[in-house]
Amino acid sequence: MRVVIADDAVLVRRGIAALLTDAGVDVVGQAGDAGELLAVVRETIPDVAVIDIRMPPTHSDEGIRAADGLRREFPGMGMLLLSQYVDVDFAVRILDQREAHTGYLLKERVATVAELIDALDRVHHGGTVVDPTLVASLLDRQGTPQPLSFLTARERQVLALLAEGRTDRAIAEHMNLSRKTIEIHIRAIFWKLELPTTPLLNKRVHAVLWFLRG
Amino acid sequence: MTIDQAAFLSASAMPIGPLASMVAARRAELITQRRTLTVGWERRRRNTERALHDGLQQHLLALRIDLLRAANPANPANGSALAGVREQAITRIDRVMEELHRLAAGEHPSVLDRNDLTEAIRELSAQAALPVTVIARPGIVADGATSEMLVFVASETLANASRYGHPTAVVIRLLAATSFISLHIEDDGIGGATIVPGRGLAGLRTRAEALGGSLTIDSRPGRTSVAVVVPRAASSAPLDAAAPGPSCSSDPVTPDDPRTIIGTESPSKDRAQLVGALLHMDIEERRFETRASIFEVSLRSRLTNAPRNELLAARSVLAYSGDQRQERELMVEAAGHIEAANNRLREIVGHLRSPHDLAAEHASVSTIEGSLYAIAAREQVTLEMRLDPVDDPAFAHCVERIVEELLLDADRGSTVTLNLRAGREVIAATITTNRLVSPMTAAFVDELLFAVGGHWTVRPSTNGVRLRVELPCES
Repeated sequence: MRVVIADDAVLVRRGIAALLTDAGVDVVGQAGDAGELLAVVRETIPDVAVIDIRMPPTHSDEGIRAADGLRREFPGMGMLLLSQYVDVDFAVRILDQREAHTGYLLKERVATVAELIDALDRVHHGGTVVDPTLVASLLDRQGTPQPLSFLTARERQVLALLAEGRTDRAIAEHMNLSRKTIEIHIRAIFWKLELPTTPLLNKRVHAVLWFLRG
Repeated sequence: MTIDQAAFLSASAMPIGPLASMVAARRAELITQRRTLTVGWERRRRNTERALHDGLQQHLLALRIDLLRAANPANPANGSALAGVREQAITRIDRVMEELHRLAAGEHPSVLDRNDLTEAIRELSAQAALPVTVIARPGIVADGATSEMLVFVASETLANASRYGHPTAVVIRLLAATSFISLHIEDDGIGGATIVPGRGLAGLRTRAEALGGSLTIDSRPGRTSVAVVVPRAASSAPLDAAAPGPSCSSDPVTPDDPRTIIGTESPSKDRAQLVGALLHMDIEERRFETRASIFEVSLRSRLTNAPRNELLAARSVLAYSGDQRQERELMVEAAGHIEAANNRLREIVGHLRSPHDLAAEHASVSTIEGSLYAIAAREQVTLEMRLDPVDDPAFAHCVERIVEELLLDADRGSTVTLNLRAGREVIAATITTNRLVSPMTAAFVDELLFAVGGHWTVRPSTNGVRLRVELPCES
């Protein structure tokens, strides 16, 4: 897998690059801001770009805007956006526009190389990645939509994993259940929440996130 | 003004006209005070948030990544390389702690509150451990971003001079012309100063350039000079536009609506009401100042205390020497402490991002409960509380902060109790904990209670200490 990393914090950027290189990932380029990122991506055409959301000059949402531009030019490229804080609006903005190949991860998580590589793999292969902390905070929020209270504890767990962008199979493995059981749970969840069912993973993630956001 | 004075005014034959203009003058004064405090606090908040988020947190994350990477058995680093990583990590932790202390001291923002550059530079020079002469006309004013940058340059240069140059004299010249402001700092030290990429002056040069100006250094034995020139055009930008912050973290400054200060839109012709308005404004002024200093004291103690234990733990783990296998385990353990320290910083940023409205009534008993239980759970300390409703939010906030500090210091598995009683003459909080009160926490409690006019005592109890924090009620 060929990866480009964009972060203005040089030490962090180098650290991530070193971690990934150790793990056998091919880090083909690094950038310190949106402009550099675009240049490096055009030059190297990576499989995935890891992009810090806050970058110069304003340190607000440069990363998201850079991702918007890249998505138009490179529709099949994976993009993993890193955020220092859980920010629902950012996450929704990132995932709304895009059907696939996109992820939103807390920056702290990159230190755990297995999680980082799992996320990279998933966005590379067209999946969606949503940070578990964000999902948990949506589920725990005061004033979450009423129908959530109709879910059983197990269904809630499945819902959380769904919202993180996991496939049926991954959920089954994670919960030590059969795929058949998971499918039944998922059908029950969608029915109880009155969400349109769809076999498409990314559409499903969106539906769930939209619902949780209220 | 005291109640007696108010009564005197009310009873005296002071004509309505002068009394009304006194009220108007007082109101204008209060509005100015409010604006100054609010703008000062907003800037402090924004600068600190930015420094934590874009500086220290990234630093700690990078450190954690490096430690975990070095600890990975798949990484073919040998023993001596690991020792190098460890030593470097200790230095990096020390730097983070120093930086936290500097942030907590917050010299820059408080110096900059008035935007009076001459005054700010003079204050800074007075604090320097060097003989500094300041040549500047009084009352040179610039916009926020320019003043900030210039004061930072002066502060950085003075710090460098005392650290490396060892000069016998420093001269600072501040000149404001119609089209530009220039700051020139010269010393007779050993020379050899350069702009190192990534270090303080390099960043300041970037900031000077962003304002359309320049920063140059000329350093040789016996004479080092740093010169900054910024065009005045950039200096005329409005205060708030001058310091761009992330949109999500800067709340708008509360509009100064005089009605919130005196209660009615136009002062009544009635003498008693006018005197009432004066009294009310006095109370408001004190409240406002109290809240401003509580915010400041709280922030300072959070910055120095909250991440301290974790950073010290990481440091001592790293300073322990073992064989190579242990070495890797130690690094993982240190990385865990670094992560915890970073989480504390994240909480501080969270506090800074939540609204800090100086005009709003703040903590209430119910918010105290929620936040303290959360901290107790995290620190694995049992917290038992009995709280009376208290209608002094500033005091409630003080008690909350004191208990928070004690929870951080308390041993895991121990119990902290808080009993908050609202009497007619005094509001009293009794707190017990199993640990002695550290000098740092004691200093913090002193400072906090000084702000609200309360006092405290501490005495040994059966299994630890008992603190009694009191605030006399005003009739």
